[in-house]
Amino acid sequence: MRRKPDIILPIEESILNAAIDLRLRGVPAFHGFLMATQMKGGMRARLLTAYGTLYKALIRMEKAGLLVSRWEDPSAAARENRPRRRLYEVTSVGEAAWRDIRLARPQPFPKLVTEPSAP
Amino acid sequence: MSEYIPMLLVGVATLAIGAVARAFALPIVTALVRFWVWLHTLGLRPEIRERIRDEVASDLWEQENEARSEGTRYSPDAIALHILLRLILGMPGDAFWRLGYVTIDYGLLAAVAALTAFGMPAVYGAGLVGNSNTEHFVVSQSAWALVAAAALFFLVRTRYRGLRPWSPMLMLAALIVLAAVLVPGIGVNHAGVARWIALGRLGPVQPTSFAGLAFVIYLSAWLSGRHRSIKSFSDGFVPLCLITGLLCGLVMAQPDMSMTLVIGLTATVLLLKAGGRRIHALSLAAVFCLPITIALAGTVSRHTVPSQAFAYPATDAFGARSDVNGIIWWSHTGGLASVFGSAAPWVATAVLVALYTFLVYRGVRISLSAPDNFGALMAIGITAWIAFQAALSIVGAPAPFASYSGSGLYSLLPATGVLLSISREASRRRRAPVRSL
Repeated sequence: MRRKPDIILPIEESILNAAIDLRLRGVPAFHGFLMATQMKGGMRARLLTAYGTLYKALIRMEKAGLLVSRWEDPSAAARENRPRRRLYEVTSVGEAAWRDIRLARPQPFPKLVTEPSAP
Repeated sequence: MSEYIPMLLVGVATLAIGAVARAFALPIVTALVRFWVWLHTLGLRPEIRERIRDEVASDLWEQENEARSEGTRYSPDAIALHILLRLILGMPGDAFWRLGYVTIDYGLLAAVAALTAFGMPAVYGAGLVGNSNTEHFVVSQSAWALVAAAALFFLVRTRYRGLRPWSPMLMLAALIVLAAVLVPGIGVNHAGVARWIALGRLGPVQPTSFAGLAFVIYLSAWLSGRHRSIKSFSDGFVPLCLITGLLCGLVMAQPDMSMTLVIGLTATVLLLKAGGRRIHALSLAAVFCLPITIALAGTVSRHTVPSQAFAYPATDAFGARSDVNGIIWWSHTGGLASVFGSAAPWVATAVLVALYTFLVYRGVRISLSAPDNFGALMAIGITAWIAFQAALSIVGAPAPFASYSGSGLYSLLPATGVLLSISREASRRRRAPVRSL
C-alpha cells in the first residue's frame, strides 16, 4: 500500500501505540517480532501480524520519519547465538503524530463503577 | 484379501508422508518464507534485500525460540502453521510494496513484445508465398528476436550515460558502413537497390537500421552538449544540417526514401526538443523531408498498396519484386500493408496502430521524466524514429518490430533497451528516499 502524506494507516497507528506503550514500560527500542507480539497482546495471540504487513509498514513509517532504525550491536546477537535484530525507535515526529491521533479521536470515557447499593 | 493390499499400501504411504511432513513442517515452512523473501526482493539493491532478509530471519528465529520457551503448548507443526499463515497473509503487502519499486516501464516492454509477437503470423504467412521452406522466415525472425531481446535486457541493466563517450565512434562506424553499402563488391545490390552488406553465412545485413540508432545517440549527445549555441545559425543549425545531410545522403543513395524521411524527421524532433529555433527545425524538415514526402505521396496515390503487395509472389532470395511502375515491394519485409495485406487487414492494422500509439505515449513519458538532457533527447529520438517508421510503413517502410527484418530487430530492440534504461534511471531518481533504507 502506498502511503499518502499526513495520513496514518490503522496498522501504523497500532505500531505507534505499541511502541509508545513499550517505551512507557522502559523499552525504548523494539525489533519486528517484539512489535508483532506487542500489537497482538503476546505470543498467546492466535495470529501475529503477517511479515509482509508488518515489515513493509515499518519501512513506510521510517521513510515518513515516524521511526528510525539501526542494526543492533553484532556482539549482542553473537553472544546469544541468534540472528541480529533491527531496532526501531519512535522519533519526535512519530510521537507528535501519535499525540495528534489521540487528540483527534475521542477517547472512550472510563466506565463508571457504581458501588452496589446496600441492601 | 489381495484386493485390500493396494488400499493398505496407500494408507501406509499417506501416514508416512504425513509423519514426514509433520517432522519437517517447520524447516519446510521456514525455507518457504526465506524463498519468498528472496523472490519478492529480487532485483532490488543489495542493502534493501539484506535488510529484509535479516529482519525476517530474526523474526523466524524469535518466534520459534519464543514458542519453544513456552514449553509443550506449541508443537513444531503448530508453529509451522502459524508461520505459514503469517507468510500467506503478508504476501499481498509484499507484492504491492514490490510493485512500488518497479524500475522499468513494463508497459513499453509489453507493447514491444506484443508487436514482435504480432508480426510472427504475418511473417509466417509471407513465407507461404512462393517458398519451399515455409518456416524459414518465421524461424529466422524468432531467432533474431531472441538474440536482440538479450541485447535489450543487457542495455536495460546498463546505464545509458555510458553510451555518450561512444557516440562519435558509433556515428563514424555508421557512416563508414553506409558508405560501404554503395561500394560494388561489398554492398549487395538487388533490383537496383543497394541496402545490404553480405556477411557470409549470417546473410545480408541492412546497416540503415543500425545507423538510425547510432544517429539518435550521437545527435542526442551532440545537442545536449550545445546548450545556448543550439539556437545559433552557424554553431547550431549548420553543423546539424551537415551531420543529418551526410547520413541522409548516404541512405538516399541506396535509395531508401522512407528511411531518409525517418532520419530527417527524427533530427527535426530532436532539434525542437533540444530547444532549437522553430524556424531552424522547419528549415531542416523542409530541406530533408519535403521533397521526399512529395515523392512518396505520389507513389502512394498511384497505387492501391494493401493486398496487391501481399499478393505478389517473391521472386528472389530477398523476396523482392518490381511492379509495373518500377516500385519495389517485398512481401515479407514490407510495411503494414504488405504484412497484413490479406487476412483481416483492418483489425490487424487497428491493433498495430493502437500498439504503436501506446508505445509512442510511453516513449514521450519517459522522455519527459528523464533525469538529464541526454536521456530526454535519446528517449524522444528513439520514440520519434519508431513513430515515423511506423507511420511510413503504410508506404512500404518496414513496420517496426513486426516486419521480417533481422537488422530491424537488432537495432530496434536494443533501442528499446536504451529507452527502458532511461525509464529505470528516472524511476530511481523519483524514489530517492529509498536510499535511506
